[in-house]
Amino acid sequence: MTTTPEPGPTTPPAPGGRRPAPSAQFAAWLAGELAAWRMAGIVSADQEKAIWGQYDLSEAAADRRGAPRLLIVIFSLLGGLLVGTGVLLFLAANWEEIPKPFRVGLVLVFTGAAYHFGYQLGYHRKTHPRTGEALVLLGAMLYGAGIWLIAQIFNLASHYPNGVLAWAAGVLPVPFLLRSTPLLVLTTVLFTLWTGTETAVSQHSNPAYLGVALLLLAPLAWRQRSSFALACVVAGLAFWLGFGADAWLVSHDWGLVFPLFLLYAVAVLALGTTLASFAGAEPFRWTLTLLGSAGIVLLAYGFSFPDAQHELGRDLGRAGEHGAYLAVLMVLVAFAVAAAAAGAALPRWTGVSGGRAAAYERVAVAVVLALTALLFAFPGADRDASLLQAILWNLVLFGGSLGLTVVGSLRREYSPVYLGLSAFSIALFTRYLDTLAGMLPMGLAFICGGGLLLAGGFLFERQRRRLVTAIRKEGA
Amino acid sequence: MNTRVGFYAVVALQLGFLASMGIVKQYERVTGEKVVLEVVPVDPRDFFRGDYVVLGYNLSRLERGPAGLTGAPVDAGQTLFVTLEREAGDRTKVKAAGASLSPPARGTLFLRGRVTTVTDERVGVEYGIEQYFVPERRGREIEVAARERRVTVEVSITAAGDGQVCRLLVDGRTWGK
Repeated sequence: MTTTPEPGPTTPPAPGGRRPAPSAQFAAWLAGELAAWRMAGIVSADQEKAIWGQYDLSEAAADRRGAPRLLIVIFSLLGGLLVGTGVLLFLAANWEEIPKPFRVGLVLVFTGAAYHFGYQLGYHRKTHPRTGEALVLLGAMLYGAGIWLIAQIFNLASHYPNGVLAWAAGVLPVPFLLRSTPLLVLTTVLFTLWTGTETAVSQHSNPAYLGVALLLLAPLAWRQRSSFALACVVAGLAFWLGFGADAWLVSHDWGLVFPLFLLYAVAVLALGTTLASFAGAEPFRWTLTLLGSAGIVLLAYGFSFPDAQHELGRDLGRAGEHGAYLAVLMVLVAFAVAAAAAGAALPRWTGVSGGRAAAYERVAVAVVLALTALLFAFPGADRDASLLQAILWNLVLFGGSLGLTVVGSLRREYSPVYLGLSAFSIALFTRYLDTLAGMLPMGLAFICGGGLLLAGGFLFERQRRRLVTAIRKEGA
Repeated sequence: MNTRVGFYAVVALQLGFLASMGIVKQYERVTGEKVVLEVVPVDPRDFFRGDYVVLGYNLSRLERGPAGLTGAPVDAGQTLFVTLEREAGDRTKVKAAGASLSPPARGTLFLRGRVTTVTDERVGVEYGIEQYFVPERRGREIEVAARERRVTVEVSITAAGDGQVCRLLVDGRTWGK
């Protein structure tokens, strides 16, 4: 029996009445079938053309299908990287034999050539947009490699985070000019690398990164409509917050970093609910909702173990000694509350509502904030308190997982459903292992554990099928 | 702004930055005052790391206390100006003569460094001349020579106190030639 390849995850007609671009597999299948039908006299040439006309076959639409574009970028990038790495290795390995000016000249020539040909192919002539983009990306990498190579030629051992900063700052205008997401992601990674190395070397947090992320990187991600770039910025800020906090906010009480992460995740989720009130902000709204929810669920999982609560409780008992830390927590709480309140009030002015999903998310924000306050009010320093806290966070874990599934179903979005079901299954299996499994004979424990996994897989699959069916029906 | 003009302007700035790095360092190397510093053995585990060797000097660890070079309180991260004086026997060699948190008078030979560690007895300082890149698998021989105190380094020092390693010398002869 042959199966018809799926044209894509969703098939609602695109604006203008056409359906979205078909996958390569579906297009090949349809071409074969249409040819056979025309030969059999079932459809005419005009009808075949009309059927193809149902689909958006533009290059831009094909790009949105993702895979072919990604493949071209990966091939181009890998090829460019191999060439670039080979050049640098050759220069580095034979540096004694090559005169210094010639070495510097080679670095300049290769960097300039990658940029020039990348721009010509991808942005001026536009004959090979993906290869061009990959070559420009290679140029940006060669520029950074050039900084290290010249530092090596002259045996420079000065403050090396400045080298990373020079790299990131030099590359920053390129994604601004070319509106390239891969280059913006590279720039975000470089600035994050800079703040990491700066903090590691100086043992002080790097407040300048906050300004760079909020005033430059996030607006650029917004301008380019890139959810992935925005996700990188959110992750970079989390890294800055955690790594910086460990260096200057909490000293050796590193457990205090986790409530900081938790409140950051809550603030991100709250910001997501605010964006639900703006037309056109949908992709960013879901990026923030997913990242915030994933962060909360992950931390709730960590907090759901009584032993972890006990350890955390000891550090929390010393939280009062860290004034700056408490101030940062307060800022995050205030931000989360303000964002959630704005999300509730804004629909009156914007006319766009996040619906029940956004309302549930605001409830989640309030609940997690309240439980975080409880965490500080009654830290699990003794066994009873740690057990009570662990039970509360188990409720957050299971409730949050189910909540994500419900929100995803309401909004007809796969990602929250998958995330919620996965978190629920992992949490259930963990609790089974650390509670029931020890009380049962080994054979029975395996049978019950296996049964639990099978049941989880069955429920997972059923929920996924329901969601896919519902989305298809909406699209039909 | 025209995208093409903007793009090529950014590329020109990047290439200009790379070129200026090379030109400035080469200029400093040629015009700076040349001195020779004796390399002292450092922790062997850290000495040879990948493609470069880690160089330690007597200047890297300054004594504290009333009779020492850094009687004034210093903290890690501060910039320290270490005044140098030429040795009586060999005028190319130098040793530390003093240290201060402000730049010495014009015409004084000094190195500008950053305080890395502070203990009751000593102050650790880095001058940016602690690395020397070598071809692969050549670092061990320098490590052995440094343990035997046979390694010196020619450093070029600018008027602002910035040092740059010019040559590595083993038994007084340029290494790697």
